[in-house]
Amino acid sequence: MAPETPFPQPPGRLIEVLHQRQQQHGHLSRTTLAMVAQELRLPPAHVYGVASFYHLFRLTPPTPHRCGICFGTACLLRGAAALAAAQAQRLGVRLDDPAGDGLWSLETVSCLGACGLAPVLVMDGVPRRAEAP
Amino acid sequence: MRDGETAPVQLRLCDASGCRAAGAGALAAALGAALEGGGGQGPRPRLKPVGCLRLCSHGPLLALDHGGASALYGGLTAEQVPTLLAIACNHPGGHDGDRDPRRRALEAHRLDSHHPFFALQHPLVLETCGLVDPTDLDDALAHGAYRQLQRLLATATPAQVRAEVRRSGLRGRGGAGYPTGLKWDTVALQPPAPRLVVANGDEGDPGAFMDRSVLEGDPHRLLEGLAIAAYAVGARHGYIYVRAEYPLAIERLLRAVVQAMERGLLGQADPATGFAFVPELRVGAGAYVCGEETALLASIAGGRGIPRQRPPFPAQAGLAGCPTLINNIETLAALPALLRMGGEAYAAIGPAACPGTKVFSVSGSVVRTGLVEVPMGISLRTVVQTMAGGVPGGIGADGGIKAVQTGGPSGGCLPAALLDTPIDYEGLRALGSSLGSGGLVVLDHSCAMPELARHFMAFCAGESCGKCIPCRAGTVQLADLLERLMQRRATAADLDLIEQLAAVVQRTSLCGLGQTAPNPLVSTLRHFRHEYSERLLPDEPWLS
Ligand SMILES: Cc1cc2nc3c(=O)[nH]c(=O)nc-3n(C[C@H](O)[C@H](O)[C@H](O)COP(=O)(O)O)c2cc1C
Repeated sequence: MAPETPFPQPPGRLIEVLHQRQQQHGHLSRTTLAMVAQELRLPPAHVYGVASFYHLFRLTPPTPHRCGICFGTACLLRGAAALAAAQAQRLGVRLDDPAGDGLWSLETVSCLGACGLAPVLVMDGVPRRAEAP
Repeated sequence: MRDGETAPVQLRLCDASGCRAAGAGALAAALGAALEGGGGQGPRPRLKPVGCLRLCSHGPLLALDHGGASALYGGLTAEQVPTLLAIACNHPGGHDGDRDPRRRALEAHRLDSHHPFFALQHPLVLETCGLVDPTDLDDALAHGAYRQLQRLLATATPAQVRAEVRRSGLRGRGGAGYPTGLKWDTVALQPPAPRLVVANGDEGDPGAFMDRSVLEGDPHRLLEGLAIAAYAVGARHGYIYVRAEYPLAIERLLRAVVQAMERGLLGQADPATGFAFVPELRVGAGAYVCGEETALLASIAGGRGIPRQRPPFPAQAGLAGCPTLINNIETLAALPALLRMGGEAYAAIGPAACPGTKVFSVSGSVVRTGLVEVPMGISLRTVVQTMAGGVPGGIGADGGIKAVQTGGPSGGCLPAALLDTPIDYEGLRALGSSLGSGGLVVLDHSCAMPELARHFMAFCAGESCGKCIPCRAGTVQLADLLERLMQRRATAADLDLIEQLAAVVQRTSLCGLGQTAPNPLVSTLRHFRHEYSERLLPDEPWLS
């Protein structure tokens, strides 16, 4: 235990480690999770349990490009569903199918807090204002 | 700053993630290039990235400070940069200026800073948001950052700080409205043991962006507030939990922590009191329930964000069993201004039972969307109609507004007839809604209430952690029943079932997520029941 830590058990760093690995590999494969479990001396079931609990951890490889549609309240009211349908048709993929067409996938994302600009879409991680279809 | 003669000409460009999504990046690049290139005579204006300038719908926003006055522009593009710089370098509003068509075009982008949207604001939490460069510690210090922390360390005991906060009547801005001073006393008065403080920046309510704006626009204010809270309850270590969906907020906060530690404002023992405080950042991973305080602690500890039964409350036994103070970002960011003005003066703002100012994020069907900070107790109508302008093209006394959704998935909808309701915790709760964290989403007449209720119920079903049955199974059943109703396949008996099940989920769920998940449904049933009944099948089953 580090001497400057003022409380009995330093909180675990599992979530941070999972974030790092996902950033490196794009997703958290079974092998990655097994390695994390070994490194942190945690039961593999615990590591898998945490990784599968949080929406932002991906257990399958992402497509090279991704389009997100915000389904927060303001975006919903300003046509997020129609926007999603239009994007699905344009890209030829189904909404929330992580495999997409191998190049692009389309996913719903939770509120980004850019409600003032609704509806908002996220192209490869960059949020921007979309014209309501 | 007020000194008109020596005040520098500066361009404050909103560099918050809202305006970035509206194209602030391209505008910043064009301004940067033009200023690099030089040309023109006289002193060159300074380009300063700042936090939220409030009126998100008109972004990207840019404020031109010139000769002690300030002009705000909205929706500028790179093509308008030369004209803007011409105004910035000379004097605004000369007679030639009015005849120049490019200047006239630019003037069309100028926003009226006397409009109620700006004029009715009472910035305390946001007093320097939009003025300071959130990446520059010296600028923050020049605007007064850390001054209250240093004053209190030099002149007040922790008990005196707590007494001042109690006197202010400040209540937690995270949604429940629990008296902040009381919570601090609970933590401080636990038996001797290490204590911890946690800033809750999970901000999961869809439609809420107050905490994001504080973190992106003025991170040192949050750090100062957190350090004051730590001093007041006797903690030396703290966590700031920010949702992963806010990358810019995380980046700015991380930089601010490093700056404050390097400068010795945090992390080093205060010579007089020996107080040293070390904050640490934790990033979420996309789970709404992690905003709930016991789930938050589980997540900080590296586990699944699963709530636990209270008591013991985190104030008694939190992280690693230590007494842990959990406050919302806005609660903490209110402290520097509150302690500067004193508890009594703060308590004089707004209603006695619920004093102070509150930041609201206004979105949905309104002309002006964005961030407002107003005294508590102001009417909903003032905010969504007078300030935000009501529904675009809306007619009638209520400006085309059908209802206002407050409090996100745990809140409810208030019909236009109740727009004159003053905003406070108890008032909204009595009407079946809740203030929540401060998201106000305006609904127009095209919005079907059962559909909105179904959307929120599906949201809660997706975010339920699965620990307790009423929430795990009840939200799914309710979402299914509402789906059936939307498809006009539900009967009056189904509607009865919906109401009974909603009551069970409210009363028997383990944590706030399940206890409040039926609120949007129950509140729309209360105020818009006909929208449900008109979608029902006739009762005779053989007809269906
Ligand atoms: C499902 C759920 C989600 C919550 N989300 C948040 C949140 O995002 N931010 C927050 O500050 N409080 C949230 N809360 C409230 C916290 O549990 C807690 O009351 C609050 O952080 C205390 O801070 P305050 O006293 O300063 O308001 C949530 C509660 C529930 C039940």
